Amino acid sequence: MSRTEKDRNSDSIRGGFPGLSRQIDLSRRNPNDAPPWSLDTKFRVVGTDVPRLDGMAKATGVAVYPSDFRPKGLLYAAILRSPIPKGKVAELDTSKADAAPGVMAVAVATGKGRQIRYVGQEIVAVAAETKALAEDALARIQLVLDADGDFVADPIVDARKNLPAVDPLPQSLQEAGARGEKEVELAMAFETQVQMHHPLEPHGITAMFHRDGSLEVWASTQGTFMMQRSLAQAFRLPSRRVHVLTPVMGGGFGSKLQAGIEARLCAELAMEAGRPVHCFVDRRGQALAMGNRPSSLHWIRAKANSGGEIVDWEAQSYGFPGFAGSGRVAYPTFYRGVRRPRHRDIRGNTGAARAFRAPGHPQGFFAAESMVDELACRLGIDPLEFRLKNVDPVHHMQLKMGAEAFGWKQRFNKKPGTPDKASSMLRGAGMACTRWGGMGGARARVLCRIHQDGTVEVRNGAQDIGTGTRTVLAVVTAETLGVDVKRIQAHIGDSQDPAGPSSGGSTTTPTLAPAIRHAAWLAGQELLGRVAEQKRIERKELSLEGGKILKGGKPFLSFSQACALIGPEPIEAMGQRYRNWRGFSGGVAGCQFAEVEVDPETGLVQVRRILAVQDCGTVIDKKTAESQVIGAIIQGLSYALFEERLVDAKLGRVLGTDLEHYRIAGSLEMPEIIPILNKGCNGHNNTGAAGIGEPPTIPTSAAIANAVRNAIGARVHRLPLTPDRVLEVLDRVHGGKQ
Amino acid sequence: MKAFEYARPQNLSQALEQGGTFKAGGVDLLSRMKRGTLSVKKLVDISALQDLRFAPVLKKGELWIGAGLPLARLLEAGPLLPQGIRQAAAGTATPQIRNQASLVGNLLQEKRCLYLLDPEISCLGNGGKGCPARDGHHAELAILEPSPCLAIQASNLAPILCALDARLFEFQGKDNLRSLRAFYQDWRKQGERPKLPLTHSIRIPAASLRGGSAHHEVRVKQSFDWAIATAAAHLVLDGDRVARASLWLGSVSDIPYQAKKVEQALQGKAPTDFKKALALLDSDFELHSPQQDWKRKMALLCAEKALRKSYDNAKEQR
Repeated sequence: MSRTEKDRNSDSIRGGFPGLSRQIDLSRRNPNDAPPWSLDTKFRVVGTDVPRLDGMAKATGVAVYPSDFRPKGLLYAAILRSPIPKGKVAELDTSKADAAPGVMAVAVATGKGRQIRYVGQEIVAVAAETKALAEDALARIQLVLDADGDFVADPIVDARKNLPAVDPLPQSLQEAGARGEKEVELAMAFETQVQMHHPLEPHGITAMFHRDGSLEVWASTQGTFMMQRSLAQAFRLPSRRVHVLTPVMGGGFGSKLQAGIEARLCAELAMEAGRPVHCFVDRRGQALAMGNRPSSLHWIRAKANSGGEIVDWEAQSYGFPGFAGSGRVAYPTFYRGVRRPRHRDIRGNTGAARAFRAPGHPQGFFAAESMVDELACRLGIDPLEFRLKNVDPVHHMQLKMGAEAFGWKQRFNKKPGTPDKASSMLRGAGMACTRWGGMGGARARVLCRIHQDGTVEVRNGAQDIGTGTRTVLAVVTAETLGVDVKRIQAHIGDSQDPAGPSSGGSTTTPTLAPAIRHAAWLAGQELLGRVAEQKRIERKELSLEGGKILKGGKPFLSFSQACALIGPEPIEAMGQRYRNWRGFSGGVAGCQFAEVEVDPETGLVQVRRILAVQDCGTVIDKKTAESQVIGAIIQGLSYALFEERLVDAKLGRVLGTDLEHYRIAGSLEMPEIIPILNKGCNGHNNTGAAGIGEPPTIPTSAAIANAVRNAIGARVHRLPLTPDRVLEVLDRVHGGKQ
Repeated sequence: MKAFEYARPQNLSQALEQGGTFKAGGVDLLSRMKRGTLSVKKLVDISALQDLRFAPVLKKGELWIGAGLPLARLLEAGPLLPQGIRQAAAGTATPQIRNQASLVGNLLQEKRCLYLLDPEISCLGNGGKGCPARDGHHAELAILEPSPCLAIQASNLAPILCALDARLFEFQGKDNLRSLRAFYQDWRKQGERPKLPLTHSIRIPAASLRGGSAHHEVRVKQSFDWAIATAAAHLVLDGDRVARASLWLGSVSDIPYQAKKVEQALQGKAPTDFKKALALLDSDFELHSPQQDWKRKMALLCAEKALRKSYDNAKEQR
């Protein structure tokens, strides 16, 4: 009996990691589901390096992004935004814009009498023959605003003043170091900045109403079906009359989950003009209105005993999401002793926060992991040893694995604050852990067709925000049927295909993979049925293994030979996403190690190396999974060192609204990045796959901050770790001698 | 971006007949047009004019460099290119921008300030009143000879070319050899960039080719960023002592700043005295607030590094 057949018949599988596994009870599994993969499954394709199926098309510019799509008769939209942070629309007259050359439609977003809550709020959209004509027409709109001077653009300034007391800052290296005390109690404050959402492809859609009244949109979205539902609702159409297409898209990171106002305005303009309209937000609009990771403020009091155990933890946090959205934060509560903070959101008159790659986590983990690290430093215990004493078994295993691969012992600076003799740089190493859910499980269906010519078609309507959805479809199908990936034609990003999830919470792969496997498995079973029928043999004599049809366990037909028996009507199977059962763990775990070099003359931090150990259950495609880890680290590094939205509190305006002046890490800022996938099988669905898009961006800033602490001998409490802040701390603890 | 006329003359005479705004690399110009802080009726693209793109060459004892030479090609020049120019060009932006950006385009880039660059903010720099940066974010703005508008000239080639007393050679006009130093002075006096006819080349006088030069800058990001501070030095030595010193700073004022007191103090001194001389520069800073303290430190650091490196370079040159 084959491995999979045996798994199917047994009531448990082995889940977890090679060195840390247990039997997973399958009694809650749906009996109609495909047999589950386990830690013992020997894969052919899954877990190998499969290049992204659409990689070449994307890299060579062949792929048509929603913002590239140019149907015949296309009009272009431009949006007038509020120049004031708070007030009311007193007068609004769009007649002159309506009459302007080339203008075909005008749509109002914020009408007379309505409230203005931030600079950048959408007021009117205009569609015209060219983008320039649309922009010219905006200038003709007569807008009178009733400005309210009583606004708060940067509420963190006041919140800072109201924090509970913290310990005085150390004035020397000696003060910042371990003082040989038996137990340590600290009270510290931490702060994180606003990180702007700047996906390479801006937010927007191209919309057109067909003659039959149905709506077709090419959308840069993280949720084709969410977009379909919102537009259907807005235009009182049944969902099936809204067709959303997202064959590829240029990044979302959480900010493209909702159908934004720009999408509704676009469809409205298209309806009025009776022509297709292209409405994509410009870079400035992106900076002002398309969301951000909100800033946060933390006060933490914690205590650790001489044994290196965290024995007390109390925290208060604040989030500053702008006029709407959530600023909540998450702490690493898998550390024994670390508790969630009391939290409060304080709103202000700037663009609203949106979900941003692991919402709330990088903020909270920076604060809490800094505190954990500081406890270790003050006790004089190696931060690795300290963490090992306080974490769960999975993190324990990963920390040891990572420390070994990173060379923690050699890289951790035993004399913080002392320059390297050869380079005169200050070197240090730091670490932090991560945890995330990402088990998936939303409803999804996948269609699998096997054709007479031996090709396999697999379809789901969900999009790919960059994690490689198309490739996941192909890999899971190829593995299940035992055929080559090249045989598979994967189709995604079309709301006329079977329903799939929005890409949020790192759930796309864990939601889709089980449905793909189910569809492919059903199709394979049906193929065997057809073969039995055609060859007039008993179905139960046949099995499908390694891409071959076996009869009585012996090779009988190749996959192509079997497909040739299908006839002109393809085999069609609809796979389902059954509910998760209790797997090895309810989430994924990981840890990161950073090595930095700090220039004592300038305070500039250069990250030299980051090593990540990351679990995502079953690794479907090693190449795209590693690419997620690398990308998450790059974004985390950029957050740690550079990105910071500047707001002028008096004007209530965001400054630096283009990519020329908003600092994002570039090629020369890149360290050596080593992703280590902690391969396992979570065993909570038939593939055991979990999410990986978000978890690896969570600990990067904390690991870098802890490495800077190890390099310079004292802590910088605020992100980003800009050179002026680093130099200020250096000068303080070295008495200005650096 | 607003619609505009576009011409791309293939030779000099065609170019000289055209009226309009010249675009060489377009790095600064196009982003201003996109941002909406500049609208242009007619754009005359001079990037096809090979006459303006010649590599550094010695003529009549002077060093001539094509005004339209892309910075990447400037970096390919042999040892006749002063070290300071090479260092300044190498640090500019990114390889892609260095392929596109022209030498004179780098010198003519508009002043920088996050407020000034926002088309919706009215301030002194764009014809309005007051400087909102003074009550807001000014950590990266002027710290030496600050004008009422705190915007800075962030060209990283300007300080070294001023230090080497470079001239702009123009095609038209009677007095067609213009000192770069005077050009920036005029910019300050007029409150806006002086109109320039088509520029042929940058010319560095023979006297500046003696001795050693160096450029040093500090930027927050190493790829694609403007300098927080830049310093360029040119030293001519007499034995181990400084016979002539030139020290210019960039990104610290509305135009490149000449550290005259330091230059005078170094006259006849050995390099052990750099720190002492630089104390004179320190006393000239006019910080608007402590926000600018890091910038002040970096300006001093750049000045010291540029002096040391140019001293070493001068010794090598002998």
